[in-house]
Amino acid sequence: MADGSLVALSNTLIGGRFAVDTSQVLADAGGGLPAYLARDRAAADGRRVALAVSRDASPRARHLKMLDEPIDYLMAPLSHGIAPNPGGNGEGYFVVCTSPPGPPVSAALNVWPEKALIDLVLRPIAAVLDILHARRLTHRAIRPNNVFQGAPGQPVTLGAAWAAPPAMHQPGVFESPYSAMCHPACRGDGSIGDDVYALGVLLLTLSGGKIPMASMDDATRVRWQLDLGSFAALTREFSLSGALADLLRLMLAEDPEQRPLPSQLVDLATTRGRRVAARPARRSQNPLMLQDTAVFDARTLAYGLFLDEKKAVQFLRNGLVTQWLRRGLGDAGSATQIEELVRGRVAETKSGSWSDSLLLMHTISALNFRMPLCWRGIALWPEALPAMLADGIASNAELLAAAEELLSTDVVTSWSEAGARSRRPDAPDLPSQRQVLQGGGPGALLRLFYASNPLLPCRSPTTTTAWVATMPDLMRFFETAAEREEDSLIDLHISAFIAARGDRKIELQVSGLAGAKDAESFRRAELALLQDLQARYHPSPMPALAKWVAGRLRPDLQRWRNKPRREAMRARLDALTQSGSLSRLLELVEDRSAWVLDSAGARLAANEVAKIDAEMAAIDHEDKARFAEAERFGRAIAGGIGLSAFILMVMSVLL
Amino acid sequence: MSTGSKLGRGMRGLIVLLLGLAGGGLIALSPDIALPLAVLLLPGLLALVLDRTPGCSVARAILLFQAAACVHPVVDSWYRCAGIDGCMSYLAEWPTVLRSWLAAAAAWVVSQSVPLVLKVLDDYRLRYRRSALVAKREALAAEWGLGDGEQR
Repeated sequence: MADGSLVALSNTLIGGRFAVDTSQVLADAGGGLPAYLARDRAAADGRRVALAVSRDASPRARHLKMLDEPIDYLMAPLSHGIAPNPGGNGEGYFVVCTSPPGPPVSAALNVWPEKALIDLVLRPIAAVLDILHARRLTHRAIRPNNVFQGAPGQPVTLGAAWAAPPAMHQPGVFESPYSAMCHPACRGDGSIGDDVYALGVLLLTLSGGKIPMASMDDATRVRWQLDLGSFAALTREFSLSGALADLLRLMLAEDPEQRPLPSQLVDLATTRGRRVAARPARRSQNPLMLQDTAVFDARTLAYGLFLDEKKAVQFLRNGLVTQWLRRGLGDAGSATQIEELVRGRVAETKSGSWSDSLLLMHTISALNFRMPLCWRGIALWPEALPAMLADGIASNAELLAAAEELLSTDVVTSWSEAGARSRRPDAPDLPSQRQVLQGGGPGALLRLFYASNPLLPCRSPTTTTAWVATMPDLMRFFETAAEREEDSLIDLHISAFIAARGDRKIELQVSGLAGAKDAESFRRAELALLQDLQARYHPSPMPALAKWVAGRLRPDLQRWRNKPRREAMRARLDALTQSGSLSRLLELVEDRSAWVLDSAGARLAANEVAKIDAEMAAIDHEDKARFAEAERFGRAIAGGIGLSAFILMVMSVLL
Repeated sequence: MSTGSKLGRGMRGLIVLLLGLAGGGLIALSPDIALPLAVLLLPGLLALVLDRTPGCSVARAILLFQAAACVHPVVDSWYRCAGIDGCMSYLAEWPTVLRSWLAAAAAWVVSQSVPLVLKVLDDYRLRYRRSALVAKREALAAEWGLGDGEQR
């Protein structure tokens, strides 16, 4: 009993060290994500934080892989894994991090002195960002409720950003306008410049004790930021010292490449005297009215076109936009470029229903190359396609449709080629993903989802309580699910999951399963797949699954014609079930040579029976013929007797 | 059937021919024995007329049985009687006639009973064979699951 409880306990420990106590909720420790107390069994001060991962939003796998040790002033990830959910409600996935030193700075949003801002906020966070930057990582979750301070006068600690997609929970104001206008799941890893921008907004917030532009909705704020520039828009209601204003002007620069690097922020001497070298945007005196919004420059025009796709296409096709660009803004170059785009799209017929979307995407990109990819009313950065896919599959059909279009066409490639976006992370391997999508059948999109979100669990309706993220997890799930006696264990989600996270041979088998034409061939393919999965990912016995498989194999025994052999095989099947080895079960039932012998024996037996039937029919129907024969033979015998008697008599006279 | 009928007709003709030759020869050699011999062989001769079996098998058996029964009386009469009356009184006396006709009756009984006995023996053999076949069929059907509904 004690051994069993120890085994159960070790199974629930994350990384063999961390026990998640879901009964103790740490309300403010997760920066907006659910956080629970975790205990490190290998440390004296074992208090840690476990952040719950949503089933619909992928944690940041690359960060979790590359950050595996504590970092000063950062809630660094220590381990991650599966643990029971609160209330014993199935399993969840948790990222265990170092503890925050105290409450978040948002708990009591005060005005911080400039020196404290620099020493206690800017320098520690810049040091953290510098470490991340050295590892080609970004944080993307710098906001007041994710920055913690133990006590006044203490340096702040940056919270975790590992349990959700980058910037997903960021308020729009802490993102540059080109990220804020994106769907929260579509902001992507971005660059370290995006973290510097968020740090700038955090400094501004703490310097004034309030969140800038808090009263505005996202679209209005973004429009203001595009119109005035982020620094001007955000600092309108703040009075800043000259040094801080200069610093924030750099940090909030529109061009990420003009923002200082974290290492420069650690030592502010390198930033002093630097100025943002930005050419003022060309503005028109006569605004272009897009719906009820007046557009004065190309940046706000691009954003306005993005907000209303239908109207935008109408304005592009009737030449209103190019006319305004040429006459109102005096930008003949952009006008000509867009006219060529419109002409090209009109002439090109193969794009079909995407024609307008392509036109709009290229037009927005041409008007402002810093804009994200705008596709069917959704703005996104291409590196966020996996997170977009996850969010779309979870709850957003519109997002899913857009993701599918982007993955199955070369839209992203043509968008990337159109602008210089070198500091953004690379998009996923689009050609190979397109190949999967085009040749992968009905589960192709799911397969892409599972392949590009390696830590998210299988979304099959049967796995809602378990966190099935790896092949061993799946085998554990099969062993549990087999006890429920369901007809089939592998549905569309699970087959896509296996294809995405299994090896190449397994992927081919899943394709065979998807191509099964009837229930019988599906059953056979399913059993063969389960056998291979056990051989590859779970060589130890699986008695419940073996019992389930044996139940599905039992009808196959009817193929065997020899009854005693069939009974013997049935008994053998039951005996092998105890061993928990699927391959032995299938070997027994699918012994081809023995089955051929059995069939040959059945044919011989059938021939023998036919002969017997024919002979018995002859016995039954040839009675008269036999009687006639007996008469002939009997009379011949009588004649023979008479002849013998006659000869004897003659001989007795003669001799 | 036609082959059997032709053979039967041929046999019948051959017997009639042989009997005619034998009768003619006997009449030529000893006309006084021929008449009483005809009386002795009367059932056989009648059977020859009435028999419809292939090859007159019944009549042939009767004639052969009667011929066997008549060998000693005919040889005795050859040496001991003379003239038709004498031979008639010697050969056609009741004990001789009765023995000859009983031989005819015995021949008829044998020709009727032997086929029946043979048929009964054959039936017995076939019944044994059939039960062996049924047992074998049931065993095969049980072992291989073959047409249990067709078992006899």
